[in-house]
Amino acid sequence: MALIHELKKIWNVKTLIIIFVLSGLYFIIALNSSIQSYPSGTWLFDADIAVYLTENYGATLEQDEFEDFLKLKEVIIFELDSFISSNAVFTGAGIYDFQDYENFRDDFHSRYDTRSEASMNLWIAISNEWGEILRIQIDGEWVDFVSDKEAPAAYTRYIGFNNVTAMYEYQWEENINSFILHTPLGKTETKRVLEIRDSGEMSAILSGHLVLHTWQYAQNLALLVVLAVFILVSPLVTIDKAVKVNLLQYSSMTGRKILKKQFAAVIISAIGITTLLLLCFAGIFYMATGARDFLMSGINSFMSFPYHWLSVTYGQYCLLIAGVIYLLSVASAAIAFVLSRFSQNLITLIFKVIPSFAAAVLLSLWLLDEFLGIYVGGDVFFKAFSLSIIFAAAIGIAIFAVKREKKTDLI
Amino acid sequence: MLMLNNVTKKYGSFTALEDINLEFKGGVYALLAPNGAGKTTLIKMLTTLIFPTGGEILWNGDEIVRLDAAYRGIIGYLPQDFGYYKNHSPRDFLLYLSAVKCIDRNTAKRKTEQLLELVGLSDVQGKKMKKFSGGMIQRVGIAQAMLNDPKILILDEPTAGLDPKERVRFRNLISSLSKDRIVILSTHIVSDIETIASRVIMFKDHKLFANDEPAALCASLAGKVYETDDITAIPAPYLALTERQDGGKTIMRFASEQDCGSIAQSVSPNLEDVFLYVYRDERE
Repeated sequence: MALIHELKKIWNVKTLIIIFVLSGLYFIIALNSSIQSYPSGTWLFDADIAVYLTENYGATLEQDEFEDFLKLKEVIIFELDSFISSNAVFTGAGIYDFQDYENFRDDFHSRYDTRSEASMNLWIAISNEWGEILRIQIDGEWVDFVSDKEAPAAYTRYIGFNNVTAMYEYQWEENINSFILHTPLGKTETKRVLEIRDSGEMSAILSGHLVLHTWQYAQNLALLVVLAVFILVSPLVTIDKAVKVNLLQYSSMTGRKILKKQFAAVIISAIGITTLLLLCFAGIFYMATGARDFLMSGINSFMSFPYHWLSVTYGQYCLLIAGVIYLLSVASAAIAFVLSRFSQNLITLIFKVIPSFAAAVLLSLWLLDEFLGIYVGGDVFFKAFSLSIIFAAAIGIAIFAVKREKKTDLI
Repeated sequence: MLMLNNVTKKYGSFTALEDINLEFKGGVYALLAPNGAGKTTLIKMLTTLIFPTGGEILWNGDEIVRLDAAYRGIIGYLPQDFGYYKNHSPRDFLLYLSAVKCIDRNTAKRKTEQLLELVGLSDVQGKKMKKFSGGMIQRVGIAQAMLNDPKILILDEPTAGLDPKERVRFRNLISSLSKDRIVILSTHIVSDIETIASRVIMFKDHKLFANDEPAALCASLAGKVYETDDITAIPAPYLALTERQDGGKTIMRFASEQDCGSIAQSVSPNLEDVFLYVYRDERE
């Protein structure tokens, strides 16, 4: 029953309001940008195509399915024809369908030295309709023209289609070979990349941008979780000491075991607040980005980079991230508990918590950076080892502090 | 029976208490000594907050440290600086401490209501304690100490900071609680214990100095305490005890080893005289 009371002390209204307000602000400042920039900020425009592919072919794209996928081009061209034929800029230039546009474009590119000013202006106007950023050399100087319009959906689909097609047909293999050739990888890394290349797992359908946004979002979310854990659990023991309730606790039947119960309450609370924050903010990410479409897709995909150490699905990838965040959360709670035990008041506690929080932030950023990715300096085994050591050390120190308390004079 | 056998407590090279032998059977035991004499050290050892560096403390023949929770289950403790959560109501706080004392929920609710009634806080049991007076807080303190119906009630300076009215109220409360249990009361305020203590324990130079009934302690000064309105007539050495005004004159109470019966009025010593006499070297 004392455990429930300790939990009640931790989950007090004031602290929860602070965490709630802080989380809201943090979402606006840090988390929301990751959501807003996906898929709209993905320069390959492959996100929508990836959704189309999973909806039609499942988690992987086999060769026969790819042949079928190519038929999508006709639909996209039809959409583009409709857009062009109803757009005055195009029709005014005598462009009535996408074929006309391609002819105009090829002609424009082929006349690099003999372009007229009129054709240049027309090219700029058309690029503006496509929502593009254009860099053109005029009188020897490079000038940027930034479109004031949003790219039409048919056009982004067209670009996405072309990118995805190229990636499936040859780019993924070129990229992986180039990666092996030009990156100073160790033996284990090279072996793993070759395994990925030859195993067929690259047929998985998953936009690399989604993976990128996922671990970046997870990095930010981990910081919030660690911060919330420190705010939630660290005052518990310090406040008891500061107001001298510990004299009553230690002289009661529970005695010094109260610290054990408080440690249990701290760990349970850390897991609780982590679960709440993950459900809330991972849920927002999940709903907003359409990540649910790719839960069964492998993370090593012909559409993604870098390559990953584990052959897991995107869903499993997210669970592993959640696992790391839970471990960070519990380790932070254990450290906060120890700091709380050895602080006389909230001021000294804050001075101790700040550097610990900073260290936890750096650790979180490092652990989740390009999560599971194979890149130079990104040794996943070292990261896993470090996390295990830090987790075990934090829990070990906390348990030592609890055990040591049995023989400590309470002066 | 609670027994201390040759108990010593040292902090590094500093000896807080040395070679203390005591027995507590029943009634109110007053630990009377100036601040820093070792009262709180003894109380903290009795409540297992600190451990003796020598000797042993036994409850019915068993060492209290070894008895662990079984011993702590029979003590009630009101510390000198009674700690509480300002945002808790007395009711919530007592329920919290009931849980810490391993009292089941139903008993805790019943005892909480009873004790709040006993200490006169029923009408404010749901209010936050941050606006309570010192006396009200001390009453919450005594209520929490009584939650487990303790066989040993240990009160460390329970009346410190209370106004006279609250002190009298508190004294009466302690007196009413002292039946069928050991009450160990630490204080440096003589009037707190004069009427309620069955034995007075005094420490001097970190050792046990006296352990006797109040009357016996007072008797030890019999024939040595006088009053006069002309202290200049008293031959040195003497120890000035207290002063009072009477009919426009300043009456000086003093203690002397010499017979001053011819030049001053001999009076019956009280516990305050004993306190001032015993701790005369520690006065400014």
